[in-house]
This record gives sequence, C-alpha cells and structure tokens, in this order.
Amino acid sequence: MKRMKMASSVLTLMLVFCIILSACGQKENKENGVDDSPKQTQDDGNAENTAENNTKAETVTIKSWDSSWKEKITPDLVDEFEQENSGIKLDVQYFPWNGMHDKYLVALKSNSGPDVINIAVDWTTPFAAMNKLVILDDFIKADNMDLSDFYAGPLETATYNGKICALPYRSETMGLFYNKSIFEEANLPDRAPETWEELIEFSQAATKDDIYGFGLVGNETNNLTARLFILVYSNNGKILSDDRKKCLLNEPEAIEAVQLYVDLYRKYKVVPKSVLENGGKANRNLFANEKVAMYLSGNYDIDPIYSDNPDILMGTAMVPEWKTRRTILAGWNVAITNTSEDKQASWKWIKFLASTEISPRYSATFPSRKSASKHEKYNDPELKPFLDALEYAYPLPQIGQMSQIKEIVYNHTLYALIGEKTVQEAMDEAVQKIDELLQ
Amino acid sequence: MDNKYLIRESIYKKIFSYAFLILLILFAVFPCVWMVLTSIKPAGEIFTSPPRLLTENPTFANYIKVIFHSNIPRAFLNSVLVTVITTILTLIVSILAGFGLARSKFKSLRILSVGILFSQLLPSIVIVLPLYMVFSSLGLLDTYASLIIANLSIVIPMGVFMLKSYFKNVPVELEESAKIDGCTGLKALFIIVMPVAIPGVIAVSIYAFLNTWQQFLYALNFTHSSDVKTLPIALLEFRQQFKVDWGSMMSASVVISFPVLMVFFLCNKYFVKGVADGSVKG
Amino acid sequence: MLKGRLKININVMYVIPAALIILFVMIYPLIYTFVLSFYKNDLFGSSMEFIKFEQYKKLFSDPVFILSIKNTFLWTIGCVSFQFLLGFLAAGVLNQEFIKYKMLIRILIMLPWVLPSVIGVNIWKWSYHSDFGIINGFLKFTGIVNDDIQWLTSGSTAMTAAIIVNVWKMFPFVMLMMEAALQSVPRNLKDAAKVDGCNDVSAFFKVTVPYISATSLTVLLLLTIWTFNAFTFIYVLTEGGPVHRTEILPMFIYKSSFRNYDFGKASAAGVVLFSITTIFSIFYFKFFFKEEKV
Repeated sequence: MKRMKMASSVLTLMLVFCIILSACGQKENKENGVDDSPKQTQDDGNAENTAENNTKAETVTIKSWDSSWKEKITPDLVDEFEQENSGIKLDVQYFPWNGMHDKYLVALKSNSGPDVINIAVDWTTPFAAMNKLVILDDFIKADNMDLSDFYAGPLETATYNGKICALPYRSETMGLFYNKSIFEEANLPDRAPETWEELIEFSQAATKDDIYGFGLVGNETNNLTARLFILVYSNNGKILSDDRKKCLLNEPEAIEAVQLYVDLYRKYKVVPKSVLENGGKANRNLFANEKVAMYLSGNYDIDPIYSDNPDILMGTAMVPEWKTRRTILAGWNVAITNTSEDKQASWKWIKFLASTEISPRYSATFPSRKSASKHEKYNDPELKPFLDALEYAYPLPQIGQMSQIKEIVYNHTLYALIGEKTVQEAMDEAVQKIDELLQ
Repeated sequence: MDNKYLIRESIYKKIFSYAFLILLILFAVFPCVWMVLTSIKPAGEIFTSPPRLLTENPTFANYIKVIFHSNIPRAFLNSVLVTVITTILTLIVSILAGFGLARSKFKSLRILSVGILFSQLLPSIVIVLPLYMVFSSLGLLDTYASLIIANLSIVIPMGVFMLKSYFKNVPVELEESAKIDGCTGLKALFIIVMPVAIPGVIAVSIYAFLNTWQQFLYALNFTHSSDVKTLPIALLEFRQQFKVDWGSMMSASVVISFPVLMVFFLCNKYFVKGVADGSVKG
Repeated sequence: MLKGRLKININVMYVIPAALIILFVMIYPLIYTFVLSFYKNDLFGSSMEFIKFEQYKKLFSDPVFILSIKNTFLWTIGCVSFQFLLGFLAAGVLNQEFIKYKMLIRILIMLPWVLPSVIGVNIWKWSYHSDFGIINGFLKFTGIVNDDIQWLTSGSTAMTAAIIVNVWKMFPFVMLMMEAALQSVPRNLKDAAKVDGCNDVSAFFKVTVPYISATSLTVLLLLTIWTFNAFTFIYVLTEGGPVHRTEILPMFIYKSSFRNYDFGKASAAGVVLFSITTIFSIFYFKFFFKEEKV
C-alpha cells in the first residue's frame, strides 16, 4: 500500500512537471511560430467562414496548409498580410515532409482540404488533373499580373491544359558541394570537378581511411530519383517519350547514366558502405562531419551545414557536365483548392506569397520570378552557382503517375545497387512496369 | 560418492547459470546504455568510425535542444492525455464487460468472449485505411478522439479477456452474501468483487498504459499537427527536423522512456503478478 | 423466474459498451476492407470499378506479394521460436533456487519490453549502422570480422537483423510468463520424481511439462499473432528493404495504400492477412481445446 501511495504521488508529480514543461514548450513554440490564436483584427476575434466572396463586412478565415520548415517564417507573413487585408484571417497548419503528399491527396480526394495549399511542383499538374485546383486565369487577368516575370520552367509546372492552376514562388535545382580541406589533403585543385569523369577521379583521390569521395544517395525515393534523373538528363537521356505513353529509361543514354550512378558505389568504391541507409539528410550530415568530400544537393543545405560545423571550408558549384548541362527543376507552388469557399480572399493570399517582395522571404531557396531574383540576399557568391543553374533546369514530366514512376525507378535502381541485377535488367523491368502504368 | 558428484555438477550449473544471465542482461540492457552514452556526446563525436564508447566532453546540448526547442514537450503532453484517457475508458469498459461475461450463463455471450480474443488477431494495418476514411468524414482526423478510439480497439479485447478470468475466480458466494446484506448489482461489483481482483485491474491498466504509450501505426496516420501528435511520431521527426539526427534522437528517447521506466520500476511487483496470474488462469 | 431473466439482461448490458466499440472500430472497417477488395480503386481515378476477383488474381500474380508472404512466414517462425526459446531458457535458469538477486535480474531483463518500441528499434537501427554503428565497431574491435557488415541493407543479413530486434523486445515477456508457470509446479512432485529415480531430463518431461503446457501454448499463440502483425519494427528498421527482402505482409499493405495508392490491392492483401491469422487461430484453438479436455 505504501508503495502504491509513493507510486501515485511520483506519477502525479511527473504529470504536473510535464504539464508545466509543455506549457513552456507552447510558449517557445509561440515565439518560434506555431500560433493559430486569433490576432488583432478590426472586428471581434472569432471569424466565420462565409459562402459569399465578401471580405469587407465580415471577417473571413482562410485555412492554409504549409510546410513544417516554414514555421518560423510564415507567422510574420501572416501578420503583415492580415494588417494589409483587414477582414481576412489566416489559419495556418504545418506539415512535415514525410507523408505530406499522402495527407494532401487523401484530404483533397475526400473534399476535406483547406482553402490554400502549398504544393511541390511535381504535384501541381496531377492535382489539377483531378480537378482539385482552381483555375486562376480570371484572377490573373483581373489583377493584370505579368506572367512573363516568372521563369519558364516554374510556370510550366503550374500550367495544365494551357491554364494556370497555381502560382510558383520557389524554384531550385541542385548543385555540387565540395570540401576544400579534404581536396587539399588529397592534392586536388581548389575547384569543383567540371565533368563527371573528373568527379570520379577526384573522388578516388579523396577516398582514404574513413573518408569517402562522394556521398551517394541510396535511400528515400525522391532524393535518389532526383539525383539519378539529373544524371540521365545530363547524358541526353529521357525519362518518358514526348507523348508520355512510353518510358525511355532503358535506352542507351539512360542506361549509361544509371550505370554511372551504380558504379560510383560498386565499381569505383568512392561511396560509404552505409549508402543504402543514407538519404538526403544523412548525406548532408556526412558532408558536414567531413566524412565525404562531395555530394549533390540544393542551396537549402548551406545554412544547416554551417550550423552543424561552422569551421568547415566548403565550396559550391554547378553540377558537373556530361554530354550536356541539364538538371532537374524542383520547387513549390501555392494554389487554391476547389473546396475553398472564399476564392477571392484565397487569391489575395497566394498572390501575396508569390509576389516579388514576399517570395524571397517565403522561399527557402530561390524565388520563381526574375524580378525577385535581383534581391540583394542572392548576391552571396556561394549561392551564385545555384542561381546560374536555374537556366539549365527543367521540370520532370508533369503527369499524375510521377510519384509511382519514381517509386518503381527507385526500387529497381536498388536492385542494381545491391548487385542483384544488372543495370540493364533492372531498368528493363522498371520500364515494363512503368509502361503498364502509363496505359 | 553421491555428494562429490552433486557438488561438481552444481558448481558447473552455477557458473553456467550466472554467466548466461550476465550475457542475457548485457544483451537486454546495452541498447539503453548506448542510448544514454550517445545522447551526451557532442555532435562531432557521433559520426566516428570506429565508434567511441565514451566521450571526454559530455554535453547536455542535445537535451536542451530536445526539451526547449522541439515539439517533444507538447508531444509528451499529447501522449499523456491520450494514454490516460484510453486507460480509464478501457478499465471502465473492460471491468463491466469482463464481469458480465464471467457471470453470465448465456451461451451466446460465451461465444462473444472467444470472439473478443479473435479481435486480437486483427492486423491493425488492415483497418487503418477504413478508419482513416471514417474519421475523415466525421471530422475526427487529427484529434485526440481518433487516437483514443483506435487505441481502445486494441486494448479492450485483451483487457476483457484478462478481467474475465479474474472475475471468474472470485467465488460467487461473495456476491450471494452481499445480496443478503442488501448490496446488489453494480454496487456489489465495486465494493465486493473488485478489491479481490485488484491485481488484475492493475495489470490491465499497465497493459493499456504501455500499449497506448508506444502506439505508432495509428498516430502515424491519423494525426499530423504538432498539437495532437504523440511521442513515437514526434521522435521519428528527429530524422527530418534536426540536423544531428542521432544525438538529439537519443536524448529525446531518454526523455520519453523516463516515465515509462519509472512506472515500471515502481509497480513491477503488481505488474508481474497481475500479468502472470491473468494468463495462467486464463 | 423474472429475477433470473433480469440477471441475464444486466450481464448483457455490461457487455454492450465493449461490444459496441469492437463493432464500430473493428468489424465495420473489416467489412469495408473486404468489400473494397473487390473494386479497382486508386486515388487518381475518381471512379470505382467492380471487378470481382480480378484484384485477387492480380495480387497473387504479383511476385512482390508472394515474396511478402514468404517473408512473413520466415519472420514469424524465426521470431517466435527464438523469442520462446530464449525466454524459456531464461525463465528456467532464473528459476533455480541458488540464484540470488532475482528481482534485480528480472527488472534488468524486462527493460527491452518496457522501453517504447519506437525508441528501442531506433537505437538498434543506429547500432546496426554500416559505418558508425557500435555493432560493427565491436565486431571489428574484437577481430571477429574485418570489414563492416551492412546489417540492414544487405539481402542476406537484413531479415536476421530484424528478427534479432524483435527477439530482444519480446523475450522478457516470455520469461515472465514462463517463470510464473514454472513456479506453479509443485515442488514435492519434482522431488518425488527424483526419488523415484528419474534424472533431470525425464523429470522435466513427466512432471513440469503438463503444468506449463497451458501457459506455453497461450504464450506461443500471442507471440505468433503479435509478430504476424508487427509493423513498427520493419517500418523503422528497413521499410521492407532492401528491395523487399524484409517486406512482410503488413508492410506490403501499408506500401500499397500509402505509397502506391492502390487501395483495392491493399484491401485484398489485408483480407488475405486476416484470413491467414484466423485460420491459424482456429486450428490452434481446436488443438488447444482438445488438449484441455484430455
């Protein structure tokens, strides 16, 4: 009995402690950004969702789904927007990357989604094809928005059947990171390799003891296929035929590219043994801890690397050339869902986010507007290669089945990576499955 | 002659037994020890090959990150709420059902009790999608309610099963004599029968607590906002959110395990007895 | 007579809350899944076609599905046998009289079971890391191997590595159960057998086994069911990799639903999984109840 009493008092104490702790956590979160509490508006606090496009008489609440890495940025933007637009209140929810697409998809399918949605470029046309995104042409015309200010690539991702269904605000592509100290140790020149042949040479020189030349991605569908497809494009290979009915990944150019990817690990052995466990973040960790000399990634990794290892001496460059210079364009768009009850207010919010002034702040990498790229924060020499590369960046084929295609390519590349199948065999099988999918 | 043989045999027995137990303890315990050791390492020392056992510069930076700059505290509160509510509801429902089944002479109810065990068979993955659809149309996604309801389905069958066998072992005479004193029905249940079955009740509570606390699959699919997320999912996010994955994750693990381990160490006597009795008699 | 009826009714009422919850949260989704398995439905198509058994035909001609069934059996048999053997051995050794500090040993050994799964599995995942994991570090340090083993990413070791984690997690539970069972064997019977000239082994079979058989069978059943449904381990350790080598049926279902959005296929596979567990349990119970009567 005594033991029970002691147990229950300890438990109660712990419970109290935890509640206090989480209250502090909440405050911390409020300062850092997760705050949906009503802000100052002209009218009373709690707003209603009205069916009319009426933003003057009553306050309207717009539900916006955003990404978790924006938790520190968006709240300030929300404040500014709400001050400029009295009568509109924003309710923002943040989603982590893992599972984001699934959640969006299921919500849209069951028509229980938000008003505004923040989506990756590759998701845009598929969602539009499902009729889940509002066509924005009328709004654009009404506001006299100049579409030529957007880069061609991003705009392509936001267009479906000739109509605009989203506004791009973030565009990026990958570049090469290299570790200057490791290069010096290995007597390598103080620059990045310019071709893939050079990259192999440099990697071999740098591989020694527990340091490897190249951080290859062997895990995570999106991260692996992103890098793989860069190689395919660089070798003038294609993923799909122009009519999108056939997969071309088993053609010679593509095979060469996949072979190079696999050879970095199996033949040249310049890649850590844990390759199959390493996704995007893992490779960044390895690079930041100076265990790999080079790896491919976007400029969003620059700050995290320095924050992990402020003393690192690194350089950035464009992805090496092969037969040509071509990389994959990635990025994000904002769109209005078809279940939005107040499309006018939603339009104001997405226009705000994709504008020349705001998109540099909202985007973790680069904006999608030429005018916005002139922002002073992009003058950093480390960022220059990434900005230059936007010229050579093209989006993946914009079709709904792209995520399934990536999954198939990923699985089959793994067969080749672990040596169970040859690259030709693996890709032949992959192409067969993808062709079935495209019928 | 017999004695010498016995002594030699028993010395071998002793050595083997203790050696075996020590190895077993090392096997059982090393992950926890490794977790604590990693959590106090500074970032640079985690990614070394060969891995270092101890560090010369122990740091609490990881803990500070976890406790003050992450979603863990909120996730902790969420887990506590969901677990406590689930446990309470489980107890109420299981005690009632277990009692009803134990005392009933209805044949069909007996079949129900076997059926309840069958529901243990249900692979949770099979019902995730339908539940998701249902919760979505009821607007219950991303709420505590969805987690509680889903968790109840896992824990109640076992709870009913355990308590039924406990109640069966309580002699009916107790209730008969209580009836003579004018105490019947629910009152009889709580005042007379329950105290005898306390170990079973505790076992069911602990079972419900441990199971819900670490429930993963449902939380993974039914919640997404940090307001409602429970600890297992918050822990996984360390693989995305934070830069130095393992150090912070290990610290978070220590923070998460702490209450469970406390509960266990304090209550283990009842727990061991309760679970063992419940199933042996069952 | 009326009183008797009333009594029965009250008992039924007590059971109703539990029955309702189970009905809503389990039976309904099960039926839903069953029905869905007869339709072709993926998230991009907005219509559902009724295609009868097409889904099952497609399922059984999918090599990944067949592989997942094989994996599931491998996984279950591997896990359950070692969980039981290790736990039983531990219980037997611990149960001997001369062992001191029993409580302390028991608490330490229980640690894996009490530690939340997600955490335990993550620690193992980190320990298995090909370059920086402590397991490879230890093996190289003691000279047992010369090169890093890729535990979780090589086809030959992944399943074994996963089984080890599950065994680690569950053997304390077995030990607990079997200890209680062993303790219920009356001492005097054991001594009597020894006096009659039985040696340890035959005493074990003649005296101890009958007493522990009920618990053993229950434990084995529970272990099988839990292992069959285990999701967290595989999800965290390998996500079914490398290339489906550790993809057990629950993982296959999850991937079909949430990666490939093929809900029809996932539902069909779910029905298969549930059927296997049910058939197994029916046979088990039949066998078990027969035992009881004897």
